[in-house]
Amino acid sequence: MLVLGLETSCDETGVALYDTERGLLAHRVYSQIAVHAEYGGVVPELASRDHVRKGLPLIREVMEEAGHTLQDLGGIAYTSGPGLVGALLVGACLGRSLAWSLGIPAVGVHHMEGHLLAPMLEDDVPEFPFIALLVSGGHTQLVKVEGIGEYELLGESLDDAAGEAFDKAAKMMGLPYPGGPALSKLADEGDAGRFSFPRPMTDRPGLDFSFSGLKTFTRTTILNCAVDGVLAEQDKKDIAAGFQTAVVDTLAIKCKRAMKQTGVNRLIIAGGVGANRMLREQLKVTAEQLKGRVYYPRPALCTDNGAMIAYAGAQRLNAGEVSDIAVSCVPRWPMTELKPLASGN
Amino acid sequence: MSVILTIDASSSLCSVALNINGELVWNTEEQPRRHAQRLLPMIDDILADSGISRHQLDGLAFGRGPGSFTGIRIAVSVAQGLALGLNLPVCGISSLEAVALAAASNSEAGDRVLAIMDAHMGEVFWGEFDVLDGMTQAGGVEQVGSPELCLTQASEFGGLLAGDGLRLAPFSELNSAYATIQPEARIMAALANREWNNGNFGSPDNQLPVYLRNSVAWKKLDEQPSLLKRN
Repeated sequence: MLVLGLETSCDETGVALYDTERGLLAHRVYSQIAVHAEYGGVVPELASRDHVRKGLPLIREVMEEAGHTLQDLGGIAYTSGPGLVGALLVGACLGRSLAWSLGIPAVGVHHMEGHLLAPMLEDDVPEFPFIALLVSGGHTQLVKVEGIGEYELLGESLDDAAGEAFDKAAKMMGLPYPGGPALSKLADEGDAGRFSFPRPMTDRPGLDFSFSGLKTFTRTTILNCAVDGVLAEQDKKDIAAGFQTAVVDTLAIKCKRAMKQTGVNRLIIAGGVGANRMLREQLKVTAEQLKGRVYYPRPALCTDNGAMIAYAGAQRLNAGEVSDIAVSCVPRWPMTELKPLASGN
Repeated sequence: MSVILTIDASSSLCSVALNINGELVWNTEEQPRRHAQRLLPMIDDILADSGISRHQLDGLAFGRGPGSFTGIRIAVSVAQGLALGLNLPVCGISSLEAVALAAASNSEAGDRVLAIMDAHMGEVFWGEFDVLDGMTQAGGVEQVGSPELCLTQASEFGGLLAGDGLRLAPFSELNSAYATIQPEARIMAALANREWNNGNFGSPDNQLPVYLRNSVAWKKLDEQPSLLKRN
């Protein structure tokens, strides 16, 4: 089945074409970074407006690149939550009405299920069950995955998401938006040991996270180092390195704990922060220590994209799931509410 | 002869209209915040009830705003999806002109109507329209601003005022019967017909909502508090 995937839950318009026989045929992502940069964060109204401009041209590009016409499609998948409701509605209404006009089924996909299944788009596919670390600007969750739609939440952030903490720390240091990747780049040249950043909630049992304390520590360190409101370049690099290492360590400690606790030694990393090189390297070591393996999608499929939505949607459509023409989006939607696939295939 | 579907979601109403070779069927529902849920089912129903297949459609018109930002995005997104799948030309219709045209059918309307819609956040959208032979024609640019600013223009205007913006002070003192008029697909269908005859339907790629209000209540980085000195 040839499935068109549309992702518009936040600040990236993603469109992709996935075939259940041949795999990912084409995908395009348009990032709205330039739209939001001057605000230092995603402005929901502007995000929604930009999705309206980009959806149709991206669909045409993807179809052309794959050498298919719309009449070849067997189904359409669109992100129906969680996310910014105005942004979600653009992709959902476009996708659902396109499917109706073509007389084919459509399905609303859970954004985080898309992320979680993104490693399935790579050649080296993990077997169920596995532990998934979902890390993005909006989420930090550890999930035990028994199969598609069979998710047990093991732990999550009680405050900021890891990606959010990255962005906020970067903003405090005056780095350009989006701060997370800029901070990581600085961290490469810094001394992670100069400042003793805490590893929040690692000294007690449990798999939950908290990153707001790291933010406070970063703030205090910046203020201690700054002279007349100016931070020396080396200070910036060392703070960035200390911060990044603290986040990565914390995530790795909890991943290790989750793998030990469940006896599952396959770990997947998904979500925007999953593109972080240090996190990838450290989790590889963590998994190997437990005689296990880590799986992650290529960086382009870690950040928001249409390919993961097309893939997740294809699994659901293949199992006979369809969404009604009464379009509804769910801005807050716990992943544990998802149902297992109606039938295996 | 042509079959044209018109949809609108720019107000608390959700509406569809089907012009089948000059014969109009329509449906309007009061559906605040449920436009996404109702629009496609209403389209599906009106076609089924009329015995028209979606493949018989020749063109698609949608309420392009101004109005509810989410609503007009729902309408344009649905229009884009349908137009892409059915290879249809598309045309955006002004919601203010629909209000003006609805008012113009009344004998009191004279030859000019000022359409005023509630833009929320204490503002109104407005636009002037001339009326000739029962059809409207834009008489100026559509605007957004305070009701007071709109009133200043309205007092020099001398025509009929219409639209739910009249419910806001200082207009509310007028107690106008025309304050109940909201944009609807059945009115827009007449405007769509005019655009169709003028050859103004085009590619769905170039169709964008008309928001009028383009500022956001969001501080830019240089207005936000900063821990360090800015470069």
